Amino acid sequence: MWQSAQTLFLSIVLESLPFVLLGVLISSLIQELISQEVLMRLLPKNQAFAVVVSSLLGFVLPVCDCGTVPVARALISKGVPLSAAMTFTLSAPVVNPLTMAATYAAFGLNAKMMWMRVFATLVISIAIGWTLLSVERRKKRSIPRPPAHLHLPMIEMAAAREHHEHHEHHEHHEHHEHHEHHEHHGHHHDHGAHAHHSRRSFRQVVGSVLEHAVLELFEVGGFVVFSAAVAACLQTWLPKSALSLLSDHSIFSVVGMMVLAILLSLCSEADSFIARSLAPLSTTGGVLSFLVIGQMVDARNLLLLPRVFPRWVTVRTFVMALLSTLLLGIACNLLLS
Amino acid sequence: MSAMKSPKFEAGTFVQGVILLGFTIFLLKFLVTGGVYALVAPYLVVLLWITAGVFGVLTFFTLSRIFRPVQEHDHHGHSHSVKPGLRWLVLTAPVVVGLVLPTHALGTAMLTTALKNTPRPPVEAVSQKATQPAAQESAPSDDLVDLSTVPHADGGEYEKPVHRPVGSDLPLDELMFNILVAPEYYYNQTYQYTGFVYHPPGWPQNRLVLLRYMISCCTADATPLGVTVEWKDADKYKNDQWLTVEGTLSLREIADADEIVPIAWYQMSKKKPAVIAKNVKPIDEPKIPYLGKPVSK
Repeated sequence: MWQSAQTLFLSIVLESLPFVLLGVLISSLIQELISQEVLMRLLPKNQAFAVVVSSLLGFVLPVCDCGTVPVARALISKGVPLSAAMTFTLSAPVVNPLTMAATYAAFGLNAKMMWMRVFATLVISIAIGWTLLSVERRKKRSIPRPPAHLHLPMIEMAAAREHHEHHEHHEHHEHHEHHEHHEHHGHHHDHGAHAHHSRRSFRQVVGSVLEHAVLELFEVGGFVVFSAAVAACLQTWLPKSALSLLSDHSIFSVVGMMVLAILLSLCSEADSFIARSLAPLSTTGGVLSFLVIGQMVDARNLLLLPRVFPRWVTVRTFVMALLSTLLLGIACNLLLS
Repeated sequence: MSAMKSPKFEAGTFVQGVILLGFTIFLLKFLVTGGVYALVAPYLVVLLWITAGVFGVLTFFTLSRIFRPVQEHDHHGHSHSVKPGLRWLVLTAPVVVGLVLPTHALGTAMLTTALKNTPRPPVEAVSQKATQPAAQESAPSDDLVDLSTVPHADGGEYEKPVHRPVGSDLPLDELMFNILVAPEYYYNQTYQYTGFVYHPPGWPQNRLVLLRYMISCCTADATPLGVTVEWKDADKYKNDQWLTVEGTLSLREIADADEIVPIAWYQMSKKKPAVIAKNVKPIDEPKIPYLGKPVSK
């Protein structure tokens, strides 16, 4: 069995590597080459509409779940609202051509489950985005900007954002000093802040992109490897009795499949094949919930999202994603029964 | 103006460079030896060559920066150095495992795990309508299948598959996906089947399951797929031994066949497809041990 676990582990890591690398390279290119002004011009002025647009970005930024977090991080650092960045993070792994093709193929070249998955993911990610937007507005934080000047490891980034918000809310003056301190402190690292400067040579730009890519890779890579190890162990040693969770009960089947999706942390191109093979043991709502929640709340996102987004964003996101997927799965079972 | 001092050795950057070099070697090892096919679908191999190239560039870039000039005006109170941590150690795990331990394709051991479930052919609407026999080589009369009694897909929704020449290699996935659409192409016909041996507990000595895994991306989505083989010396071959079997497809009643994961894909009748072997040859594991699911073809 150890041999099987080893094969699965290496297989998941190898399959993830190109997508992780693509994610960190896109992230680095956004960070180094696209100025905040340009990115803001590309996004709709209406923030509610910006959330909807973000949910469809998977078609132009084809990163799977392994690559969305670095890209989201770069978008946030360029001033993209947290609501839009989170919507992108949740929807891009599913609402992209590759995953849609895989789902279509996995379910016997039948498009029904593919469209149900895309529709459910869009509805939930946009609903979460709009909720976060309303909270942002309530906090008078419609467009968070601080990290545009800041280039810190992810954990510091989320902490710095919360710290920044706290200061802005209560001590506006002190915040200014804090901000200036960071601006000074971060000057050497913040190549993004220089992105619109045309004085940098090509070599300097390439150097900055590569430096940023290595930094991101070492930030994200450990979590990708860890979640691959967890998924490999579960696939190898998950007891057959665990499948009794799946049942054909309209509620428990949804709960069981959601738990399994979160534990397995499968890649968005591969999960539909597992879902298809589990379909005879579960319900349509259970299979749909497996396909939706697995790309929103899994080991990787549980570890990585809190390092990029402030706690109030991740807590609301995880709770909303879990509840709405559960309700959607149950509704699907009740409607189809 | 910044005055230059002697360059400072950046230990963290050096460790980063070594880890990146490890990943480059790790990728190249699997790509050059072909071991990559035991781990991922063939269409990912091109992406992994590109990935290895990018890792090579990142390695060169990082190692070229292990000596960084120190400037007197580098004063803003923090170090630019990167420091190794636990996450870096975790990151090295696949490199160590991949370079030190031998890697094998998935075998029969995975069949006992919870997630290896029954694959299903895409066609679910079947009928018992009569099927015209194909004018091909016939099987011995006692194994001859009456094509008017076998299930087949009803209606014109499904196109007829390509009919392979009798005697050629027939992949197991093709058999599974097409047997309901064109049963006359397969029953009573002689083909060569390739897979590895699985002996379900309690089976007679003259039967085995010839098995392959299908994958779409990586082994995490592997689905076992097999066909029963009848051969007088079936018990001579151990689990995981690769074989090429030349034989004619017939039908057999097999106890508990619907509970035996790799052959449970055919649930349309009591009798299950079984290859009556004429010739069995042990072979080495093929370069590409897995069958591709539709998305990876």
